[in-house]
Parts: sequence; C-alpha cells; structure tokens
Amino acid sequence: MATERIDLPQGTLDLLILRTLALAPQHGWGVSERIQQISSDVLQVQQGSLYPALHRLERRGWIKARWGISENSRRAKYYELTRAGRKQLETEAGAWRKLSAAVAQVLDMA
Amino acid sequence: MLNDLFYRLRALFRRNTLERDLDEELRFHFDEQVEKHVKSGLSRAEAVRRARLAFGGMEQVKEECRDARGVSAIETTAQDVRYAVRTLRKSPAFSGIAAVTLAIGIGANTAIFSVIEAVMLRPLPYKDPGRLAVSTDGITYSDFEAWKSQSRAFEDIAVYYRNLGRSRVTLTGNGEPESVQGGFVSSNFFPLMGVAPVTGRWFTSDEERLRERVVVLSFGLWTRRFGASLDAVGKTLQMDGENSQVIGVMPETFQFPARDVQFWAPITTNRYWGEAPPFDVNHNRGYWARWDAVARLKPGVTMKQAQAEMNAIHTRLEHEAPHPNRLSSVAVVPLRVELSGNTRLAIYVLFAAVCCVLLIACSNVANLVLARGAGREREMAVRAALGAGRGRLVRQLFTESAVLALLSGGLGLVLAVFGIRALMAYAPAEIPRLEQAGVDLGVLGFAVGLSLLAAILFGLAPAWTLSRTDPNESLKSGTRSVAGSMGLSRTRGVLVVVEFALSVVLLTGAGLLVRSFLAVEAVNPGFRPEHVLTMHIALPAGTSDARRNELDELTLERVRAIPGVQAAGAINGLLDDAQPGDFGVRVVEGHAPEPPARWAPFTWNNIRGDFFQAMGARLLRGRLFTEQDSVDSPLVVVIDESMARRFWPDEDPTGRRFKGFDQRGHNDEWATVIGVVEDMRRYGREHKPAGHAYEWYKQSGRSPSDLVVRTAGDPKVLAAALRNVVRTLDQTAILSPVTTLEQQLSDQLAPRRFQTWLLSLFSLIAMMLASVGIYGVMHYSVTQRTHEIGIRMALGAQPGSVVRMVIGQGVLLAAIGLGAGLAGAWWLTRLLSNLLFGVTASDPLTFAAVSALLVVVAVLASSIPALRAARVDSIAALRCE
Repeated sequence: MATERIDLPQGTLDLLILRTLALAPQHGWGVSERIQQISSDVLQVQQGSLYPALHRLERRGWIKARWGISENSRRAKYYELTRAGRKQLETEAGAWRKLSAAVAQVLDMA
Repeated sequence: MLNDLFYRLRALFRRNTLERDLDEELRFHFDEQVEKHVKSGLSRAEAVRRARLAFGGMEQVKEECRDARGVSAIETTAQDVRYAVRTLRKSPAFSGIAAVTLAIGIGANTAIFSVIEAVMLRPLPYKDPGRLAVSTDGITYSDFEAWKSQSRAFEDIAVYYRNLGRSRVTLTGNGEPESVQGGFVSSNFFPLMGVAPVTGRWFTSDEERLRERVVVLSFGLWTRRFGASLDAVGKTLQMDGENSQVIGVMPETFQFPARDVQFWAPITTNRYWGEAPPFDVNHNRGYWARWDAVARLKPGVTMKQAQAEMNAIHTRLEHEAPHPNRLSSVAVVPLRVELSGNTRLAIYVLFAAVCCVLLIACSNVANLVLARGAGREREMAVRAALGAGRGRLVRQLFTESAVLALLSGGLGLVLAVFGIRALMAYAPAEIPRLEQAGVDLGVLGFAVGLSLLAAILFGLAPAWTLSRTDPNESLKSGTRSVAGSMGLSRTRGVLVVVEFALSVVLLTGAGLLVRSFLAVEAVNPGFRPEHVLTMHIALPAGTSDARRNELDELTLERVRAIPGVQAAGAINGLLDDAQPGDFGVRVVEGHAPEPPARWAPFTWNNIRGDFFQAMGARLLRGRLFTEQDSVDSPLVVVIDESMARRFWPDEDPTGRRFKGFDQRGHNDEWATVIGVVEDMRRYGREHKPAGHAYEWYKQSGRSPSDLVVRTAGDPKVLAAALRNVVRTLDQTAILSPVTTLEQQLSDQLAPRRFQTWLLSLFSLIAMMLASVGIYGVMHYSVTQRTHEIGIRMALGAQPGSVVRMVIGQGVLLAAIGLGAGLAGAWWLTRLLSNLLFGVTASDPLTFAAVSALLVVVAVLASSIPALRAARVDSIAALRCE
C-alpha cells in the first residue's frame, strides 16, 4: 500500500544509516532498500544524500568500507559499523528517543 | 582526528583509485535500481529512465561525495591551479599585460618596503634597543654630571662628542695619511649599548680618567688597515701623530654615533678635551665641550616619564646654577627616531605612493579580468549548469587571480632587486642603514603577502560579478546577458574612478615637490657658483699656526699664478652646516645688551685672500678686507645683509661696533663693521640665511682651510694643477678631492632631488596605468555598444557626435575621479608640508595643472575608442547581431 513519503529531518539520515549497518554490513543500495523496507516505504533515501552521507561517516571513522561480492555476484562496496560508530549510534539513538518522546508529549498534551 | 587526517591524505594521494571506486559504487547502485524496476515489470528503457531520474545529476552526487570526503579543498585547488595556468597560457597578451602591471606595483612596494625594513623596522644592533634614548641638544659636562646623579628614569647615561668635525683624526704611519671620523665616548658607553667587541675589549673607566691612548677599531678600519687580522689587538696606530694602542674591534653593524665612525676612543683623549675658552673660565669644560648623551631607560620606564624627569632636572639646574650656554630645553628622543629622523617622513610618503601605484595596478588588472570575463560569461554559465556551485566558481576565478598574482609577485621581486640596487646607488648618503636593505625572508614574506592581497583586491570584484551570471539568461540568448554586462561596466567604471582619484593624489604630491625643488633651485645663493673650484687642505695635528699660515700664503700665491685663475681665497667651513647658537652678538654699541636667547642665529667665519671675489659675492656697502688689516690694527669685520638688517635696520652699519662671541676669544674687544656683503646661502638654499660675520685671518690668527678658486673657463681642467700646487709645497697635507662649487651645491639638494624624482616617477606610472584603465573601459564599452552605435548612425547621427559621446563618457569618469582625488589631495598633501619649500600644500597652480593634465589624458585615452566608434559601419554592425 502506497503511503505518503516523508522527507527526512536534518541529521536523521546518519542515524538511520548507522542503525541499518548495526544489523549487518551492507552496500549503499542495500542500505537504501533496507531503510525503505523497514519504514514501510515511508522513508525514502535520495541517492544524492545517501552517498555523501556514507562518505562523511567513513571520514569520521564511524563506518568503514571494504569491497565484497553482492548477492548477484558483483563487486560492491560494503560498509560496516566500527566500534566508534556503535558508540555514536547509541548516543544518537538515545538522543533521538528522548527528543521524539518529548515532542510526542508536547503534541499529546491535554 | 587521526582517522580523518589519514582519510584525507589517502584521498589526496590515491585520487584516481578513489575516483574509480566512487564510479563503481554509484554504478552498482544504479544497476541495482534498474534491475529492481525491470523486475517490477517495466521495460528496460523505462527502467533506465526512471533510475536516472531518481539519481538526479550523477556528477552532482559525485561532487558532493568528494566534498564529503573532505579532501576536495586541496584537490580542487590543485585542479583550479592547473586550470588557471592553462587559462593564462591561452591568452598570453592578457596575462603578460596583467603580470607586468602588477609586477611594477609589487616590485615598487617591495623595494620601498625593504628600505623601510632596513632603515626603520629592523631592530637596531644594540642590546634591547627600545630602551635607548638620546639627547642631542648638546649638554655641558657639569650638566651631564648632574643628570647622572639626579636621574632615576635611566639605568645609565653615557656621553659622546657631538661635534663630528672635532672628532676627526689624522691617521698616519703605514700607508697614505687619511683623515677618519672617530667616536669619542665615555667608558660606560659600550656596556650601555650592550654590544660585545668581535675581538679584544672595551676601554675602562680608569683608562678614560688617565687619558690613556687606547682605541677600539670599527670593523671597516680593522679590515682596511690590518686585513682583519686577529693580531691587530695590541698593535699601535698613529693618530694625530700619537701612538694609540688597539685594544678591540667592534662588529660591522656597530655604527654609532655616525655611520662613518671608524674607531672609538676615550672622550678624554679628544684633542679639544678640556680646552677652555678664555671668556668662560667658570665652565671650562662647558663651552666647547658640548656633549650628546645616550641613555638606557630602566625597565618599565617610558620615554614620556623620562622626558618629564629631565624637564624637572633641567628647570632645577637652570634655577640653581644659571649657565649662559645651557640650551633652553632638553629633548629625550628614542634612538630609533633620532637615527631615521629626517628620512622618516620622506620614506613614509614614498611608501604611500607605491601603495597607491599598487592599488591602481590592481584595479587595472581587475578591469582586464572583467573585460576578459565578459567573454567568459558563457563558460561560467555552462559550468553553473553542469552543477558547479557558486562558491566553486568564485573559488576557481579566485585561484586564477592568485596564480596570476603570485606570478607577478615573482616578477616583482626581480624588479625589486634591481630597484633596491638603483635606490642604493642614487640615494643620498644621509639615509642610515640603507646599505643593509635587500631581499631577505621578511621582504620575501612581504612580497608574497602583498601578491595575495593584490589577488584579493583585483580578484574579488570579477569573481563576484562573474559568478552572479544567470546561466539561464546567458545560455538562452545567443548574445551576452544584458543585465550582467551592465553590472560589469558599472564595476569597471568605479574602478577607473578610483584609479583617477589615486593618480590625482599622487600627481598633486609630486607636483608640489617638483615646485618646491624648482623653488629651491631658483633661490639666489648670494654668490655665483659657476666656474668655482674648492678643495679642503688639512694638515696633520700638531702643525703650528705659523706653518699653516706660511703654506696657505704660498698656496694662494701660486694658485693665483695658474693661468685661467681669476681669484683665489679661503674660508673655514665653506659649506659646513654651522651650528647657530655657537656664536652670538653680546653687545651692539648704542643698543641694550642682547639676551642669550637672541644670540641664536648668528655664525662667524674666518676668511683669507680674495674669498668674496672668488665666490662672486657682491659688496653692498663699505669695503672688503685688505692686507693692511692686521693684528696690530683695530678689529674689523664684514657682515652680511641679514645681520645688518637685524642690528642696524635703518642705518648704515659701516663704522658701527659690536662685541660677540667668537672662536678666538677676543670677546671684550669692539669689532668695527667695515662692509656689508650679500647673504650667502652656503648651508643650503633652503635655509634662511643666519646673521653672519666674516673675520680676517690676520686678526683671528688662524688660517682657514677651504680653498675657493674662481676660474675663467671650465674649472675642471684646473683641478689637477690646483692639487699639484699644494702637493709640491707639502707632502704631509691631507687633500680632499677638488670639486666644483656647483657640484657641491647640487649635492646639497641630493635628498630633495631624490625624493622628488621618486615621487614623480611613481605618479607618472600611476597616471599611465590610469590612462590605460580609462582606455580599456572606453574600448570595451564601444565594443559592447557597436550595435547601438550602428543604430544611431543609421538614424543619422554624425561621426562627430559619436566621438563626442564616447569622449564625454570617458571624461565624465575622469572628472568624478578628479573630484574625489582633489578632495583627497587637499587633505593628504598637508602631511607633506614639512617637505615643501616655497609653495603651500594647497598650491592652486599645482592643483589646476594636475586637473588639466588629467583631463587631457582622459580625452586622449578615450579618443582612440571614440574614433573607432565613429568608424562603425552601421550596416555591418546591425547585421552582426
């Protein structure tokens, strides 16, 4: 069922990428598919922002890349979470939960 | 952090690998997307189309990835530099003109900066030089002792002989006798300056007290006389005929109190030490022995505080022990200021001038870049359309400017090296430490910094204007975008106005200096310097007055016998800067006694032979000296107009009598005025003549040593003969080179000539650049408006009116610049007033001449494009669009 798509709020893409990669190492295409799937097609990641984000995260040392073979036997660049990335994910996820809970509370009041 | 750095470095050095990786990564994504669409039942072509749509611009994504990767700053700069070099190489005419224009600006700035650095910025070669101060008003020995005991502001105060003329010594022994400048200083001088000798030691206070003949050599004298041998210490030198023992050598940079000081010796060994003028027995080391003091401030004490303390001490001394020779005030001057004193203003003015030249050069190049930029609007538009961000475009344009500027900087540095050499060759000798100017690290840094600054100056406007190009407009219309071009011409117009304004300021300054120079040259010196030779004859110390007299007698006699000689005489201190205040008229018969304060402008010379005739000075009243005026006859003097006007304004001074201070000490004798001669401006034509009295050698008992000879024809042919006369009479005499009086007068003007020349040169360069600027703008404007002009002419406009229109626009730009420039000049030339002579800073003639000149230049510069406009073929012009 097609639902309305929501633009990602600033800064959440990094969080989503980290969370996705926490499950298993994945290539860019996989990351974008996974996010779309899990969010039931609500969140759609533009390639134009996905790849710059991946490169940015790699530069910060939160993820690292290596070349592997994809399901259909092609060379693909896989990203995996580093230890620093795992820590960063925890911090960011915690912050996000707090924020969304707080926003929800405000929205739901009386 | 480390990871970040590593990543960036990897990104930098493995650029190609990374680019390939990025390609492959994105390609993979793209293919997967296509596959997905195909699986969902779309045709392959449709799948590809959708995937492409979803991806947006592939290049844009890549660019953003590169940005995210973080290396792009370095990498794109490298790319930009490569591209910039290519672009510059592609249009050599543009690059050449721009580079040369900038190089002139940067080179001139660098050269002048190196002078500033050497003369004013470089720390003086003494310990903690910021705390050194001097007082050069001349103090008496008793005051010096009082200062030392009463001052709390200074760590120590040392004195040195202020009269450099009286610190010259004849060096004899091995080799040609020479007369050298010495520094006679107190023993605490060296510790106070804090500079260790290269070898040997300083002299001690005991040696000073006991008047031991010891001497510390300058580096130059050491090299010249002893071949820089370490054995020199302990050897002896013959100074004024006395053996002096060499005890040390100072480093090359140590040049105090004057640049040409060749040795230092205890102040007590100066031959004038303790000489007591007979009229001043109570202050027997007071009158002649005037000193200059150099002092070191205690840490934390400011010059101001020291000055306040000195004022208090001075007032107290004046109150407790009044002294006729004490000057009315004491000035404490930072050593740095004292050393660069006279040249400071001139150097600042020149620096301001070259800064203006650089600014003009920058705006000219900005104009060139803009003119070229007009043709690049489409390039920019294409780049913008392909995904280049505005920042990226600005950066690229800016990199081009920086590359151009650094290239010019290199060229400018070469120019600067030659410039510095030329400056040193032509600069008057008075500029201290100029010989140390050169390209060092500081100057190099300055040139590089200046180049980058120039890049910002001339690169910013074009980068801004061009990057604003609207890609849609530019690409859509085949012609250039109208709005963009209008923006361009406005910017260019403003630049031309700025150039003209700066040129006006420079030209006005130069004009005022030229007027001053002409005014100084036009001053009647009070004598006829043409056909006059001069020579200074010094005899070794210890020569008796009788021997001197005999030699001079014979010299004059034989010189007169040389064919072609019309008159010969002598004077002491022909062109020396007399120190007004050293002499004074105390009493004028029939007048009230003169207070010491009124003595100041009065000097006194001793003459012999036909001095006035040789100089060509006219006798206005009375008579000149004759051989009948002798020791036994009453004391007589010849005075000049200034003195006559001052003391006998409404009467005939001949026959009047006065008592003055003079060097012989006949101070209680009445001197009778026998004649009045023209004022002679021998100390420089800029100096107001001081009251002056001439005394006859027979009555003063001293024979003067500056020979003055008037010849019938070219004086130079007699120079050798003149020298021979003295040489054959005395082998020991020390002769100065024979020079013409004209040459010496011209030398007096050397500093003024130098600064006038330089400023004129810089302002002419400025004017040339500005006229090229206006030409460029008008040329460009005509090219842009060919179409419009074609229509005008098709509609019946006459070529004449087109010409008038274009020139009118050029002149309008110039006029705005002129207005701004005149206002600026009106305000800025005031700063010059200390350098001016005979004109005021707001001299209307100069302002008018500069305005007229610039209007003419503007008309000429815009007439070439105007004539081109008039030749526009209306049919062709209309067709070509």
